Amino acid sequence: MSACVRLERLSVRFAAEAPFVLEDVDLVLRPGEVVGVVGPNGAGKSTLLRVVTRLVRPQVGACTIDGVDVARLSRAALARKVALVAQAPEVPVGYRVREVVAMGRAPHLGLFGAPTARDAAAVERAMAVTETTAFAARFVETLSGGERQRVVFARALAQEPSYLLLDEPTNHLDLRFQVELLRHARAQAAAGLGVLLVIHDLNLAARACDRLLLLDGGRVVAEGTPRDVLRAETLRSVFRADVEVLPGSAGPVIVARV
Amino acid sequence: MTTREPTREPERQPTSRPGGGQVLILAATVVALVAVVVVAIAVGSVTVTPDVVMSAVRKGLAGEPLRPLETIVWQLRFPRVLLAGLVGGALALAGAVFQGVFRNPLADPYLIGTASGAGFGAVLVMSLGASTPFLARVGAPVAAFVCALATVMLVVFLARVGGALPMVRLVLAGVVISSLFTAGTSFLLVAAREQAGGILAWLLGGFGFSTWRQVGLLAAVAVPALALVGAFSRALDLLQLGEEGAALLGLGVERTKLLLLGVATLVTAAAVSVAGIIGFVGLIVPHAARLALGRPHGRLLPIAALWGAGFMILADLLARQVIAPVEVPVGIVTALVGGPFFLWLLKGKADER
Repeated sequence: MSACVRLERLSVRFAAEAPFVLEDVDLVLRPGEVVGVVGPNGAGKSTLLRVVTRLVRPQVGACTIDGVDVARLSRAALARKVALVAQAPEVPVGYRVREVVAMGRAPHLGLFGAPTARDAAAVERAMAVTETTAFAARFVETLSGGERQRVVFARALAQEPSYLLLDEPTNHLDLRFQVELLRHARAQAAAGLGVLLVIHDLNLAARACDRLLLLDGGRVVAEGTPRDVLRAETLRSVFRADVEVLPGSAGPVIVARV
Repeated sequence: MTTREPTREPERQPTSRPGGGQVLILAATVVALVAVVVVAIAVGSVTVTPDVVMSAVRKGLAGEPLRPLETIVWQLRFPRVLLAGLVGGALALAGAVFQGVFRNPLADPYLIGTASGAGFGAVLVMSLGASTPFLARVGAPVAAFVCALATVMLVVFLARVGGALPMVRLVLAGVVISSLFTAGTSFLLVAAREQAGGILAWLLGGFGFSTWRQVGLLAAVAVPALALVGAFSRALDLLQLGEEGAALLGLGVERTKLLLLGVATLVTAAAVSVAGIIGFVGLIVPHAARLALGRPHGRLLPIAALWGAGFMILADLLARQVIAPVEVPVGIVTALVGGPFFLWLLKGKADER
């Protein structure tokens, strides 16, 4: 079985008669690539990430990681494979930044294992990459929204997963750190992780992702390179907005007419 | 970092690695606790010197015959002080676990019905068995323990939906069941007429009849519980991320919650069965420990247990000395000292953690 996260004919709904939140979705995420999931609010983007982390179970179809159905993995085994940076992650009150990042080691330690030098090194590395080392000793509740977001990202890196799922990771970040974070995501992919990125900003998506998956109403509307997916007529019908797509040097540039 | 945001409050500790401060606090705590134990044993209706305390310990452990003063120390004061310490430590530990699992600083060991169940059971046996002192003396603690566990199991059963145990349902069921049992207890108290005073004194808690056997029984529950909960301190830390956050880091959330609440309830029920219902310790001691040490449970839990022990020993000392020879129920002392302290926390500490 090749290494990848694979969704096959996946359908999810939250009650028996309710409409499907995801319907007949296929997706393959391989190590080394950044796949973006884009689409309007309520398209099912976050639910897709929650299926991979087994916070939601599909009614139809399956999600496998490296060939194993996620339903058959223990919580800890799943957490060693996949890290999720949620959209509005809760930060625990009364913990220092280094302690929060170190929580990412939990799936490797089990309940009773003592952290080793290897764990400490993973924590320091994750903080160095996210530039959070400078406030490692501060209490996490004293940080700004953007700083917290980076701490949560650092914790996901400390998890040393094979696949990294990011749900709107750039939301609270200013332009510099948006670019930085996406650069980190690309660097992680270059280092061999598979990165699945839910993102609203189509221009950032076009630059950060190798492939895009465009969802609307739970269904895949388009899939392919950013240039293939981000076409004016597709975006106009999906977002119901007047959109122009200009050819840019680093990928298509999407301009909405207000 | 060039674009670092301004620090919103000064660093509480300039050291980059927490560690040194905690060791100091732990060492100071142990020294202070030993001192408190010696003072509490020495002071009483007959005050003895520390060397009598020491000789009583030596002879008591060796099983040698004791002089009268040494008998008071070894047979009365020692079990009393140790029992107070164990009860205080057990309640503080249980409180820290409840506050950690519920992620709510207002949670205490009695939140999901332990106290009301224990009170009802004990009062039922006392009022029925008033004519047989043996039943009242032996049966009441047993009934308190059994009813406390049964009440919590009922609350958990009522709160459960599917495989999950949502916190809100748990607290709601706990509050409602607690009021039911409290009403039942009040009814029994009124119906008990002339025995009501004695029953009320038990409900308010105290260490007047402490024995070595009780010390042994409670230690057999509380010490393994401390070790077990301590082993789960990292799980308690993960629970602070919310249930989904904890699950994403590999924790079996429902199993962990059930186990921790089960252990905390068992410890609370054991404490209540030997000493009655003593409030505020389980609420304020974990708070105070958290203010001094921060949240991480690996260092919070042992300190909370030790502080709870010291606080209860002092409260009991006050209870038997303040209007001696009359003993004030220790629950009144903990409430009188603990209440204002808690209000001070509430108003004074803006940076709640």
